[in-house]
Amino acid sequence: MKISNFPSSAVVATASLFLWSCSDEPSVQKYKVAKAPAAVETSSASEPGTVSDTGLPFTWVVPAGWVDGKASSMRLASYNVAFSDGSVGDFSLVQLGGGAGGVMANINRWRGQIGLGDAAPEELAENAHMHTTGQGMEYLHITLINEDNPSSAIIAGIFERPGFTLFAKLSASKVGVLEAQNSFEAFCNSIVFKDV
Amino acid sequence: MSESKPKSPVLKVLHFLSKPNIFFFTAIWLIILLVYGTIDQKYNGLYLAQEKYFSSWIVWGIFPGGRMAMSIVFVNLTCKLIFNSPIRLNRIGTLVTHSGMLLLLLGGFFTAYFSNEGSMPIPEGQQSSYYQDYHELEFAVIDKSPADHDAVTVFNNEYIKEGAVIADPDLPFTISVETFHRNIDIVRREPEVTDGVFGFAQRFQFVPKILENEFAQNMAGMVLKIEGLDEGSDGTYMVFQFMQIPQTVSVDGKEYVIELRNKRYQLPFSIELVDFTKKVHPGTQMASHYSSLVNVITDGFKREVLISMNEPLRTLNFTFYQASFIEGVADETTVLAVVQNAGRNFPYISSCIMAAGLFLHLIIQVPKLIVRSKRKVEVSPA
Repeated sequence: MKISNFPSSAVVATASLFLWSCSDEPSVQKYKVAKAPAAVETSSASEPGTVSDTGLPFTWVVPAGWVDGKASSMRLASYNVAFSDGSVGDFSLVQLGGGAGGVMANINRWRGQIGLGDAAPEELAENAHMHTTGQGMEYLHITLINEDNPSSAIIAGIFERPGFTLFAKLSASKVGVLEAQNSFEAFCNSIVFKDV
Repeated sequence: MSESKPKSPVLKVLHFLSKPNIFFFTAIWLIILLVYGTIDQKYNGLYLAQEKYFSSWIVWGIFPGGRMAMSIVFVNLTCKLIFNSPIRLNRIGTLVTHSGMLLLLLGGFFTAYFSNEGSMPIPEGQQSSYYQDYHELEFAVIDKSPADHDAVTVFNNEYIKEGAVIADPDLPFTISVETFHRNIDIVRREPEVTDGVFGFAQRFQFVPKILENEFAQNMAGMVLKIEGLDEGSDGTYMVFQFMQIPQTVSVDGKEYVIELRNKRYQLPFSIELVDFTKKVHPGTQMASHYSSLVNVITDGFKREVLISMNEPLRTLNFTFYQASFIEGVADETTVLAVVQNAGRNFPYISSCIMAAGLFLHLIIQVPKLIVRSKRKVEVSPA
């Protein structure tokens, strides 16, 4: 028995036409996205220029122009910093226990984040210097720039204290990092440890 | 045995389309496409090679592309089944196998047109309700004025080309695409241009670059001419992918965000990353295993699920795979690969049908084979 009537032909022809008709057409889609609930006010929110005391064993002063950023369970403080090239830098203040894996390990991790390979300690001499805060505490100040990718750069300060390490890090473009040198240094210099 | 002579022109065409020679030559053409596509992938990347050779209707100007070839195979096998396959008991196995093959091709069609995949990065402690296509773009206009939601109007890929006009009755302005490049470099404009140029475009311009082999690394950019804005604001604007500060335009005090971004697929639920865990090989920093503990949130209800390598989350028509992660000093971000595939069960079902057909064919042929071998023994005595 064979099937050779018109309906079968129509099915085959229609199937073939359907395959041809599935082409991209301009389309407009509309939908609503619920706004996220307002971030809970934390005690770390503070006015620029005032001392920020959140109950931690240290305080700091928020530089002018730094705006509270996205909160996170790991960050003690988070700020957004706008720059003249239209980019916005992301600043984080994080405290980790003990040596947090070591200074070089963290620096090389940051280098990896901006597309640079690992570096030995002697290769960092040009970009890493010991600075001293107003309180007299020393910290390591590092500037990392990937010349092949000017949108990725990091400026960071590492404070090694008994029992913990404090990381202050600003991720921005190259332009941003160069513009933020003074305000970043001002932030780091303003950190006062209560146990000293 | 043979079919009766077709009478109408339509039947003549359909009988012609049922000839086995068509399948034979199309299969050879598919092999040629496969070879060229595989070589081209080395130089132009997987995505472009796939689009040119396998997802296209026409290749090299006049020859059938992969999609056309598969369509010809589908029509050929369908016509063969309907017009040139007598239904007899001893051919049941062949017919079942043939039907399984057609189902496999149909599944391929559903996958090609109705499936999509993308990535979904979620930082620890945060949630997301959409995933982004790896390659396809969309142009979004976002009205942020409502208090409780953002009203998003999205124009698909077909609007993202030079000369396109982006307009909608609900939007008070019209956008003309003056320039579009799929991969760009951004350079500073010296001196700044302020006459009729607004936003980022005053200080920067872009230059086209050749496409990256890894297609997802390309950064697209558009120069737009926008009309219908507040007085003195009509003019030239610029948007590009991954822009940190989206461009905004305003009409009667109402602000709209305009974005060129990877196409987003909204999910009917949200996924919240509770904790990301990474294990490394002993003595190394190389990841051996990572997993994401997530909450699937639907209408306020949370369901905790662990997504790990080789153990994806399957819900509704979506599958979430643990693809990779982004490690920061402060927090980690999981990156899930998301696939929505309406045709994902077709290969399994069609494989079972084809296997059943082959088995049936074997069972039917066994008595014949036994009789034949007995005859051989009788004809050639030891």
